[in-house]
This record gives sequence, C-alpha cells and structure tokens, in this order.
Amino acid sequence: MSTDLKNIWVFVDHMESRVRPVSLELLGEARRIANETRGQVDAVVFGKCSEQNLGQIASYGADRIRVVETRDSDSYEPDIYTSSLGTLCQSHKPDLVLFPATTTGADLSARIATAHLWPIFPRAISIRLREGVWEVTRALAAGKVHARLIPLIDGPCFVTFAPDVIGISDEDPTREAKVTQDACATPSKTLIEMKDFIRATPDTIDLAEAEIVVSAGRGLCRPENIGLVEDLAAALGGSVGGTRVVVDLGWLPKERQVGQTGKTVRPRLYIACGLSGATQHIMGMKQSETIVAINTDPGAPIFKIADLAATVDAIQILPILAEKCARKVEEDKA
Amino acid sequence: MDEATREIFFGISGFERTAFFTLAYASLSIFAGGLLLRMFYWARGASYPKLTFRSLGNRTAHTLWHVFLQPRLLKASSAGWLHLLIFWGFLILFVGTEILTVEIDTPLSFFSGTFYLVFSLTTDVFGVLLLIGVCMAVHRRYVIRPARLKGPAYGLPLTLLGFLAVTGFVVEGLRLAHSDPAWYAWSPAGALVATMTESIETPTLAAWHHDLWWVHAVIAFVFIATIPFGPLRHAVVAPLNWFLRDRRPSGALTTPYHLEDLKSGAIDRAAPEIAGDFSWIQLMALDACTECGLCEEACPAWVAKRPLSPKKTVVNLRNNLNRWSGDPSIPLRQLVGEAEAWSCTTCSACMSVCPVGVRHVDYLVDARRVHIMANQASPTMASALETLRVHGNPFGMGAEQRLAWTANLPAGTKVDIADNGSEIDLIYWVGCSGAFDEQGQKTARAIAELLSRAGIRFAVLGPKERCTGDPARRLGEEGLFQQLASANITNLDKHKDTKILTSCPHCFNTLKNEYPDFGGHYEVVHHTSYLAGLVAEGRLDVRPSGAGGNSVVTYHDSCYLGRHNDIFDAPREILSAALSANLKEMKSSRTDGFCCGAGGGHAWFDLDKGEKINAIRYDQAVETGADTIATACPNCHIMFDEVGSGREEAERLQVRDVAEILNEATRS
Amino acid sequence: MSEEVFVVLQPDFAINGRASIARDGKSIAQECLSLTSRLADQVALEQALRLREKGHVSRVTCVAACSSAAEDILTQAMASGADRALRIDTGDDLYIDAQAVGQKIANEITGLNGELVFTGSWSGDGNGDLMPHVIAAGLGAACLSNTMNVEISADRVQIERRIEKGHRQIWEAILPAVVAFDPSATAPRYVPVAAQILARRRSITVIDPVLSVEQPATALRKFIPARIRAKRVSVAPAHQTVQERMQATVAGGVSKKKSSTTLSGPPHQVADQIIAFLEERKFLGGAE
Repeated sequence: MSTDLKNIWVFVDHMESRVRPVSLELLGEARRIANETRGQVDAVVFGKCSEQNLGQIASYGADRIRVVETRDSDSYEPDIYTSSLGTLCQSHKPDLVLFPATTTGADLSARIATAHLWPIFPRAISIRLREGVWEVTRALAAGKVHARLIPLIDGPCFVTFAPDVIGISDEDPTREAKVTQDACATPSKTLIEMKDFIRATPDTIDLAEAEIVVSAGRGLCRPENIGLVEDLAAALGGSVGGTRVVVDLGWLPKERQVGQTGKTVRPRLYIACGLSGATQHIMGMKQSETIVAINTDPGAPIFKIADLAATVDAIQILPILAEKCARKVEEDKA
Repeated sequence: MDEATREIFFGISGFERTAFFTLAYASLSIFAGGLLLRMFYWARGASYPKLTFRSLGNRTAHTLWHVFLQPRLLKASSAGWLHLLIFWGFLILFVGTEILTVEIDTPLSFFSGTFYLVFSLTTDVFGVLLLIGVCMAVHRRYVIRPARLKGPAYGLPLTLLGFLAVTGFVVEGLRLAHSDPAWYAWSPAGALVATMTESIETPTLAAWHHDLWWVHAVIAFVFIATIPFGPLRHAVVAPLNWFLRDRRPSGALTTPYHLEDLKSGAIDRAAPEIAGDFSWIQLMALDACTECGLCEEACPAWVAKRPLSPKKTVVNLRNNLNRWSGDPSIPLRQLVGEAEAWSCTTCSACMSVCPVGVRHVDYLVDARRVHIMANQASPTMASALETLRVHGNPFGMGAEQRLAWTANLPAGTKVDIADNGSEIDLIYWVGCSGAFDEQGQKTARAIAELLSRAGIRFAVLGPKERCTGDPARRLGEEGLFQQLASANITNLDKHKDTKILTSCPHCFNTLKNEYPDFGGHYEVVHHTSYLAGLVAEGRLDVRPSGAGGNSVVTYHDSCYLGRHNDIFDAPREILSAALSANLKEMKSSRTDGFCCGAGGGHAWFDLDKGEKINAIRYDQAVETGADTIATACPNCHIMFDEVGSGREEAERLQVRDVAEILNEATRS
Repeated sequence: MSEEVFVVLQPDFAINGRASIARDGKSIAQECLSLTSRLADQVALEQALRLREKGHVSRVTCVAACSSAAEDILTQAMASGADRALRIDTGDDLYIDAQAVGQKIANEITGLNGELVFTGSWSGDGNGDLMPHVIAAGLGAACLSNTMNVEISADRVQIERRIEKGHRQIWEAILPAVVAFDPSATAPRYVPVAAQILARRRSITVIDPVLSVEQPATALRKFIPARIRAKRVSVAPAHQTVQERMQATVAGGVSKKKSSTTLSGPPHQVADQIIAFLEERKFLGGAE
C-alpha cells in the first residue's frame, strides 16, 4: 500500500432503495483516513440511487459519487459488477477500496481482487498508520487474537468490513459531493447466469433469518388469539413465532417453533407475547438484539433478558398495539 | 385282595412294545435334533460371555422360582393360572410316564400298593387339570382373543395336548372297564369314563383300548418331537435362559467394546454392526420367547402408539436369525429399523414383566449403536450429542457455571469444593440438571440445605464434574459415553473411598451399575435413600408440612430409580414423614410404574412419533386427585412440567421433588 | 456428469485460555491452539456426501492446505464418510495468505481434473469470503457463493443463493464451478467418537506443493492479543455451532445492555409507551 492513501473509494451497498448502514460506517472511516492523508473519498453506487440517498452518502463523507448504470434489475449481478468496478479501478487506480462484508460486498470484492491479483483483506477491524506503514488488522481465533497485516503487491488495496465493527460516525448534512455517471462495462465472459430472484415476505421467510419476530406463548389462552399476534407481526412487517407448547397444541405449525428443539432466531426485534420464557425457549431466542416481553406474571423468566417489560395482559394489549403500529407506519410513509 | 397295580403295556404285544420303544427313541431323537439345531443357530452369535460357575446357587434358585412358580405370569393376568395348570399337568403326567420306564427297565419294582394308588390319583388329577388348562387356553386364545396374543401358532401343540389328555382318559377308562379292579376309585376320571362304557362288550373294549392306546402314543410322540420346531420350544429354552442369562442389573447396558482397544488397534470395528455381533445368549433368548405379548402391553412407547413393539422386535429377530438360512452377517440396521429403535425409552418394563427373562432393551440399544455409526442420528439427536461432546454436558453451558446454583444459599448452608483438603464424608454429585436446569438447581439447593442441617460434611466436584455419559450411551453413542466415563473415573478415583450421593437416578444408575465395567468402583447412593436414612436416624428434625386434611400426594416412580434399582420405599418414607397428606398411588406404580418418557435419551431429542408419553403419565396422576406429584428425578420433573405448561390442571397440581418437600418440612 | 466432487476444508484456529504469542509476534504457542474445521466447510462436506448418497457423484475427495498439526480436520472428514483426503503441506506458519494458498489448492485440483469443488462461503476470520474465489480463478471456474441449495446436472450447476433479509437468488453456471456454501444451509452430520478413532487408521495423502510462482498478496506483521472488550466480532449468519457462539461471546463479541424498564397500567398507556420505544429504536417504518 502506498504510504499515502490519497484516493479512497467506498463501495456503497444499498438494498430496496435504502443505503445500508454499514456503507455509511465505511464512508465515515474513509473520511477519517482521507482527513489524515488529505485525500479524497469516492463512493461507488450501482443502479438507481435516489436524491435522498445521494445526499446521505455525501453527508457521511463522500467527495464524489460515481453512479454506475446497470440494466434493469437492482440485484447484484456478479460478472457485470466485477467487470465494471474492475475497469473503473484499473483506470482510476484508487489506493484503497472499502467494501462492506455483506453478501454482495464480500463476493464482489473477492471477485475483483482475484481477477486482477490485487491485495485484499476480508473482514478487517481497523486500518491504521503505524511506523509509517498502513496496517490492516483482522481478528482471528474468534476475536482473541489480532493480526496486523500489510499488502505485498501493488495495486488498489481492498478491505472489507463487517457491519457494526467501525461504528457509525457523524453526519454532516452540509457536505456536498460531485455526482458522476459511469456506464457499466460488459464482461468479456459471463460465467454466471441470473435465473431468478425470490423475494421473501414475512410469511415465507425462514424464521432464522427474520428481522422482526413476534412470538406467541400459552398465555394467549386460545388458538383464536394467535390472530392477534399475526396482526401485530403484519403491522410491523415481522414474522410469527411460537413456543413449543403452542406448537404442540397445534396452534402454530412446527416451522414457527422457536427454541432448543425448534429454530434459533436472532432478529433485531423479538416481541414475546404471553410466554413465560422456559430455558428451552430462551436458548432459541436470547441472541435477539432487542427483546420486548409482555406477560402478566412479573416473575416470568423472560423478563430477565428483556429490554422492555410490560406486565399487562397480552390479549388485551395486542390489538391496541397492532392498530397503533399500523397507524404509525402509515404516518411515517406519508 | 390283590395288591393294587396295573399291567403296564396292557394288551400290547411284545412286537408292539418294541415298535413303541423304537418310535419313542425316534421321537426323542427328533426332539434332541431339533434342539441341537437351535443351539447351532445360537452358536452363530459372538462367543462371549463365557460360562462360569459363579453365583451358581443364585442362578439355580432364580431358575427354579421362575420356571416352577411363574410369578410374573400370575401377576400379569389370569392367564398365569391356565399356564400353570398346563405346565404342571403335563409335567406330572410326563414324569409319571417316565416312572413306568424305570419300573420296566430297571430291577426296581415299586409300581404297586400305596405307591400305585397315590400315583394313580395324582396322575388323574393332574390330567384333569391339564385338560382344564388346555380348554381355558383355547377359549382365551381363540374366543376372547386379547390383543397381545396376536401371532403365534400354538394351535398344533394345544390340539395335541388336548387330544393327549382326552385319549389318555379314554384309554384309562377302557382299561378300567375291561379289568374292573377294586381300586378303580383311585382313578376317578378314568372311572368316570369307564361308567360310560357299560354297554360295550369286553372284546370290543379291549380292541378299542388297543387302538386308542396307539393313538395316544403316537400323539405323544408327535407332540414331543415337534416341541423344538414351534414356539413351544420355550418349554426347554426358557429354563435354560433363566439359568444362563446375563444377570446384569436392568439399568446397565452392555459394553460392546472398549475404546482403548479401538484406539490401540486390538479390535477392528466398533461392534455391533451385524447380527453375528449379538452374543449367543442373546440369540438363545430369542428362542425362549413365548410370544405372550406381555412386553408389548407394558411398553409405554407401544401404549403411546409409537412404532415399537418389543414383542415384534424379538419375534422378528428370531424369525430372521434363528433359522437355517439365517445369516449372521446381515447388517443389524436391516433387522431393527430406526423408528423402532429410537422409540424405546429404556424403561425396561418389558424386561420386568417377561416371564422367560428376555432382555429386549439390549437388542434395541444395539440397533441404536449401529444406526449412530451409520450416521442416522436425527438433527435434534445430532445437536444434543454434539453439544454433549463439545461441552461435557447436554445443556451447552460452560463447566465453570456448574457452581452457579450455590449462589445465595441461606445462612448455615455451605457447599465445599472437593480437593480443598478438608475431610469429607460425602461427595455430592450434582449432575448436569442439578447444575444447569432451573428446577434441578432448586433440588440441589434443597439437598445442600438438608445435608448442612444434618451436619454432614460434604463437597461437590464443581467444574470437574462432567456428564456421566448416560444420554450418550442410551442414544447409542458408546464412544462418547466411554470418553466421558473415563474422564470422570480419573477424577473420582481421587476420592475413591468416599461415598457418592447423587440427585439424579440416571447419574445414580450409571455411576453405580455401569462405571464398574471401566474400572470405576464407588459406593453410590441416591438422595432419597440417603435422606430417608437421615430421617430414620433422627438426624433431621421433621415436622410434616403441607395443607393436611384432604390433600393428596402421589409419587411417581422414576424408572431409573425404581424398576432399574429397586428403590421404591425410601422416597415414600420421606413423603409420609414430611407431608401431612394422603399418599395415593397411581394406577401403575412401583415395579409397574409407567415411564415419564424421558428415558433412552428422549429428554434431549424429539422423536415426533406417536402420542406424548409424559401426557399419558400426567393423566394417570390427575386421576388420583392429587394436588402434588412428588418425583425424585429431574428428568421426570421436567417431563411433568412440560405437560403441565399446557394444561389447566397444572393450577391445582404441583410437581415437587422429594428433597424439596423434605426441606420444607425441616425448616425450623 | 462429474464423477468426483472435491471438498476444500480449511482449518480455523481457536485459542484456549489466553493467547500465548511469541516475542516477535510472528507465532503463537502450539499448546493453546486448537485447530478445527470451519462450520461452513463441514456444511460443504455434508452436501457433498449427500450428493454421493443420491448417486450424483461417485467420489468425495477432501483437500486441505494446512500444517500437519491440522491433519485432524481431514481425519474427521473421512470419519464423516469422505472417500479420500489430500493434504497440501503449508509448513507451520499460522498466517498464510489466502490468495497464495487458494492458488496452490487450485493447481492440485486442476492436476486431478477436478471440475466440481465445494467449500464453505464464510469463516470467522473472513478467509471464507475469499478462498472460493481464488480457487475458482485458479480453475477458470465460476464461483457461486452463499449457497443454500445446489442442483447438479450433466454440465451445469444451479444454486439458490441466500442474501440479506431472507431473499434468494437463483444462479446458474456451467462446469467447472466452485460452490461455496452458507453455513446455515444444512447441519453437518454427527460423527461418532468411534468413527473418528477408526478414521485415524486411514491414510491421508500429503502433497508438497510445487513451488508456486505467484507471491503472496499479504503478509503478517505481527500478532497481538485482543483486548477483551472488543466492540463486536464478525457475526455469523443464523446457524452457528454452539462452540462458535460461545467463543464469540467469550471474545467480548455481542455486548448486551439490559434496561430494567417495566411498564404496567392501562393497556392504552402501556401501548403508547411500547410504540415510543419501538419508534426510538427505528423499528417502525419497516426494517433497515
């Protein structure tokens, strides 16, 4: 890596027309380095990008935004993205290119680096200048050991970061960036054919991958009350789960069971309705980022791991919650 | 008056006698040949265990008890009586006939006078009993048709026996009518028949007697010759099985190989794999099976409609292996399917009701071992085993968490770690449930309090404790079990002379009955026995607690404590001392206790077949009208809690460990 | 139809207790290391074994580029049912540049006429993101990452690829292809202890790789121990082994701060408070 990282690029990953927060983290990091080296940060975006998103990219640190036109689909097409970004890197020769370690970013970065024999550091945790040399640090052995690495060959240095490693930096809404268009380069050889894109809905998504789970327990008393859980889930755009008891009673199918002998889920939000939190159930959901528990019994074990506890009757509060959530979502859209 | 006797071979010429004996020897030869053939089949099995002279007296007594008195059959149903009638009937008559041989072939002469009269009466009476037995059997088997008797072809032997008895009496009657002795009253049944022949002339009587005598003889010869070729062979093999069978406790599974031998290369494979890996005793036991179906009736998996019938398993194995074309190299997997093998909870109800001593569980666990080696562990099973392998406990918790339950104990209760150098009387083996499961921890704390109160110096092993390996062994992962066992034994050997107290019957059973095979010999006691002892010695001040009055408590016998290890009374003694409630037994209790469904590794994986065994048992508890179910096993406790969480009855029905109940009653 | 599937396994190293790093920072003491195979690679092996059980391929060959200390991962693979195992010796260095190693592996597989390669698509240290692509480039093959399901036909491979939010892409490529599996695709089979012991008797072919012409792309400067309160370590997709999760937690991975807010009262009031909570954490208005 050149001792001076003047030309820093960031691959911005966006999904469903929102910029993914990890990309914003990378922009912040690129900005930090660029401030140190008095360099410039270029963001690269594939596909359509709204004004609002462009503004957001700028405010998080980009000096210039290169928008690469793709055909129709917004989804990642490896060969096209590889040849386009690869060509851009070849012509503009950035010193450092940052990628988020998302499914797209990890794949794309590896493809380009391998094709052009450029150095790449997957899943890094930091980039620092030490003793005049820029080092990339990666975590090995489940994070117990850090390895400080340097590139040995010339060329743009690729570094990928997983979400929440750098942390999001401050936004500067006054900041502006120059937006340029680039055409996408057709690859000389297409090895992979895109056959289909299957969009998951909260009903069809595997519970283990759901971002929001609303779970039903025995405290709902009757199978008809599962509908209340379903309504709240629908209002939040989440998926329905249940405890083993509820599945054994036939109120929900086995695929919806969360727990030691069911699915292990790690959603961003887990709402536990009328379930006490038996050890076997907790084992299946305790890694949820945020846990909201609703149970009339203040001694229920679920409250020990809940971020927000409500000692009210789930049957009473669920319809109210569902309605208010739906209304809020409507308001936010407007 | 002439001395009472009768002419043996009355009306039978010398030539005919020779023919008779020839046929007799022929029949006995076929009988012997049939038996030898069966032995040939048994010899296809592995050659262990070797026969020794150890515990000869014990084995003999055991055999005589089960063969001649048949207590299990009597306990099981009214069928016990009919079987005893047939058994004793035939036995006495057979012995009687052999006595005649002695009279004829030896210089001894005793067949006269009082002896003869007694002989005559006895054989008549038992003949009648035999006939009654046969009639009852026919009625039961072909009219009542109980479900468990489905299958075997006893039609031929029953018919032959029936005809044997009838022709026997008719022949006797004809002879009596012909010779008209003064002592005919000593053959009452025969005499009865004789009265019916009054109108018949003497020469006709003689002729009929002659012909019918031959019919009787031929039926007898056929009967005896065919014994080894049908299920009636159990008459010979069952006594053999009682005498030779493995007398290991029912809770101890077989040790098919030692891991060190596999590591060192002394053995080439982790048996069992093929049918020939069954021991010769296991193959012999298959022939002892009478197909009575008592095992099936007692099996909780069968009651819960799982795809397992112990009877079917045994009969199937017998039909496939103990036959001319039986191939010892058949992979075991093909003989016992997965669904069948995994349905078993190893409760051994089958083994405890079997009237001939078959060890059904051994076959099923051997099948599991094969399935595991063939990568057929289901996902939940695989995850349970992997967790156990990596963490040394099935809960997936870190070893350092094993002492978490000792936090915030009441004043006066202190838990020491062994190896502190202090003198201890007792090692408390907490077990994984005691350490990691919420309810198990409550029990552990109660026990710690009780021990402290009684002034017992005890210590726990803390993070050095590992799972005893019971779940791995029951599931068929013998290698993992032995790994865990050897680690535990290395640790426990440092405290070789100290008594070990366990709060889990599975730990108790494994430490006591299975570790000796691997060099671990310890004195192990379960908390119910130990605490009952403390109560009896007066070392605990017990004041019965509880609502008293009309409250009812029912005790659930854990299979691993009760049936496997004969501990029934100690927990009940504790309950009667500690609880002022009426103890009401569930409909299947003590040796007949119905399994909670957690055994055989089922506490750790989902079978997803049939109904829930724990629900069936829970219903039995509810039936007693109890407000407390007392248990002495953490797994049983979890099983009941699991059912209770889905039922309204749970509001009125608590589940409590015996130790917790005692603890409450001793708090001053 | 491909006769043989090659499964590339790479060792992951875990540290028991404290990391004991040499003074020069270039190596870590052998005693505290335990080398295991990566979950995603085990999943790839499981998929390969199932393929063989269905009759689509006739042989499963495992390849690992590692030191002799890591040979156990190949023993494990054979205990699971692989037909043969090859180890490309890489000496004792703990850090080996993925781009160089991947090239070595690709060379060997080319030499064995390999057309179908399975491997893992994710690993804790990130090499899983990279390795499949390096191997594919070396083979001139297509690389299909984050695979959940694969279908093989005569000359092509079709995969179902997992991307965020539960969506799936269907990709297709003509052989040769490298299929990299998502660790949540299936659970690897349980390998009984006895099978592992028996597998130790089977031989593993060791290959000393031909000196490669390419130089490594990256190099290690030094190892340093991590501070225990690391913000977050790379978090695996849904299916992680208990061991991996435990290690992540021990390494100070996911930190959870539990608030003790308990709400009670009339339903409408509580509902409003819950809504406020959800709004504050940006759960309303759709997920990220």
